[in-house]
Amino acid sequence: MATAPDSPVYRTAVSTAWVAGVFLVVVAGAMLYQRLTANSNDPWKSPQLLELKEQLRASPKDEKIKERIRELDLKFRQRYVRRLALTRTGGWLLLGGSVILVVALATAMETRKVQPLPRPDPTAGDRAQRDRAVARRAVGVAGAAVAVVMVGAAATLRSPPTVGDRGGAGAAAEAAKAAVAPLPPASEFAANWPQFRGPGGSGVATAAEVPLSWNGASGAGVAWKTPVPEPGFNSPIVWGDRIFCSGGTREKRVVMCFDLATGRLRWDRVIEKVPGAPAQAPEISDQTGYAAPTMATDGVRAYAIFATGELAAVNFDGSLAWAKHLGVPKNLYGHATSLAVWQGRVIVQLDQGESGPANSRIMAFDGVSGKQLWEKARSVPGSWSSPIVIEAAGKTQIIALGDPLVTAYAAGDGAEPWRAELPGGEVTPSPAFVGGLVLAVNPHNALLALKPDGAGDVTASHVAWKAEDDVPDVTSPVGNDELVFTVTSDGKLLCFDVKTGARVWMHELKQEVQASPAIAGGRLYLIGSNGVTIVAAVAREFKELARNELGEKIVASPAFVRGKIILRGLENLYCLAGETPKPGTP
Amino acid sequence: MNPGPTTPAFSRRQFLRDGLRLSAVAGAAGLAGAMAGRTQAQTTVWQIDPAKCVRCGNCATKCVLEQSAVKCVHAFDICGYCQLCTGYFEPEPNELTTAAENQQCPTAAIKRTFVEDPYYEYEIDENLCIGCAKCVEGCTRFGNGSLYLQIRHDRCLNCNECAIARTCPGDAFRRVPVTHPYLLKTDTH
Repeated sequence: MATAPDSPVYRTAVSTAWVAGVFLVVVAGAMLYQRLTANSNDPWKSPQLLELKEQLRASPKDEKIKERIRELDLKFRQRYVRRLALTRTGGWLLLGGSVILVVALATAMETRKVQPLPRPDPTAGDRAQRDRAVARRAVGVAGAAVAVVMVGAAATLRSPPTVGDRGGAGAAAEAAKAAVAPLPPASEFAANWPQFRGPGGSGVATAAEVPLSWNGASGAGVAWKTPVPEPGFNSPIVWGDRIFCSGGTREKRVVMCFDLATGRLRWDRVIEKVPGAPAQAPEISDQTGYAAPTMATDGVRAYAIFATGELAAVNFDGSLAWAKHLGVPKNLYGHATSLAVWQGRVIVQLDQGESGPANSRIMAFDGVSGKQLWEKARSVPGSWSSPIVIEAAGKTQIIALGDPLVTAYAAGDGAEPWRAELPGGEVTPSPAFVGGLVLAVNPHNALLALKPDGAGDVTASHVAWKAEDDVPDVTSPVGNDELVFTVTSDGKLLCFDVKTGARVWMHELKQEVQASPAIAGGRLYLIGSNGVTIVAAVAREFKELARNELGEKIVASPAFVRGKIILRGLENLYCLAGETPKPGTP
Repeated sequence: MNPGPTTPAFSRRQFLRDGLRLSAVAGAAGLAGAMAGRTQAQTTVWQIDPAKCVRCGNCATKCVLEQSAVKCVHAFDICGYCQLCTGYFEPEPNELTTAAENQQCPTAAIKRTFVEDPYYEYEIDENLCIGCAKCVEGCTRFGNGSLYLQIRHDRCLNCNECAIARTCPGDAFRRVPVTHPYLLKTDTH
């Protein structure tokens, strides 16, 4: 009689198992290869097709290119359909092969099975007792170890780390210090440049001595120039000896801090792993980018928001105080509205939607904890204008523009004291508070000067004056107690009387302007996109005082602090500290 | 004195019978619980909110299925039946013909049929559609938004954690009642 391994059943079963095994490996390998190469074979991702289509755009009559596109398109689609069919068939083949393999192996093992014949073992009893004793001890030791680990974990994990806990004990201590640090007085806010367009957000610097001339090519008047590692269209803000700005790409969003004296990059903080943020950042138009909103600071922390909806507070030592995700703003070009601060609170205007209201809102967050203090819905679609905080009519008001409303909110609780209608279109210029009037711009309608002491709908009752021609489309107005200046993106500079709204003069700058104008040292600074800054007199007739070339494209608005101008070009950050005429000198 | 054998108060036969009854009741209760849980779990299904969709293209590649369960659907009552359909044609098409170089759809899933001058009807072949949203992007940006994405529930596995929802940059995925499993567009965007 044949022994089990020699039996024909055993041999057949083993052979079948081998064949089934090899078959499974081949099929699985083919499917795996197909899966790995699937992306490169996707018809909608073929770089060849895209390139050919580009070529066709350049030579629309070229029949050869058309033929080639048609051939490739057919080939890719056939390959795609074949891949789908192969996947379906492969699944069935794998299932069938597995069944055969299992049956064959089971048969082989059954055939080979030899019944055990135990022999008497006189030491078996002692050995079993020893094994049981060892098992008991092992369970005891393991139990004790688990208990120790649990107690240890309970002791150490009592306070879960936040997103920003990365800097160790020192950073934690700094953060704790920052959390309880009192806010600086108002005089310090006025001496620094804490938000978009400076203190109050109206583009007027308190600094008396401001550089008048510089030249990027020769380096005259340029104290330093530093490359900015991450791209962004936001403007720099300054507090003390620190300059803050943000940058971002689809891959990462960063807050950067530079040294005011030397331009050295002190630190950069990547804002990442924010709870609630999608794993992959949304695609944002290059025209706006991921870091168009300008940061804001309360002198203790610096705050940043990105087009991805990530809002972050960073301590001055670079540690993260808190971060939260506000939802991806549904904005046609990308979120660009800058932040504002008031008494340790961060004001976030989040207008979104392409037409009609779509979850637009304005919110206030506690700067220390990031806790939301209030939120008000806004019945406007997406806008790109930034809110300002003003003191008027005995109240602190937040002024926010949208289409079709100019709305005032009480800074404390978000209540709405007044609103005015200003319908138009894509609202980009920010409001300004000049000569006791709120200046509001809707690029497709008018520049309105509103008295900020009304209640309810003040459209009919509180419009001091209105200008409808050459309304600025991107930049924000600026002015003093006598005159208001606006500039359109194609360079039309207008001067109005702040009391009457009468046009005083108009001048063609003959250069594109994206940065908002500013008044500093009693002069008007107009920065062209080509990097040429025209300095003009704040006067009832146009007078050019200086024309300074920097040699780099600029769309961000300048910051003025203590005899210096901080300018952000597309690639570099500049500190201008050139000739500073005494106050009163034109 | 030997009192002799006595009948026990609780016999083995009775123990077995009661045990069997208890097991049957416990099994029935467990089954009912499982069914209730399953029914509860299936009261909602995943769907895309067209108002939130950002047409990123993730739906074509992130679904666990080889061919995504997300398909383009067409709201015919919104459609303008345009001759130059920005969902069907490439931007700045070479010609307004059905040739490959002019079509936006990478799998030729949109069928274009002449109605009357100058109107054309566009119909989606769901067996070919991969949910890449190229046509949706074109129609939403430059047309009136009649093409949009929906999860087709005859294909969707209704995973507990939808692989596309996890990566959706527009937070457009949400659960909807199984009785109303589609979020249909009835008006232009």
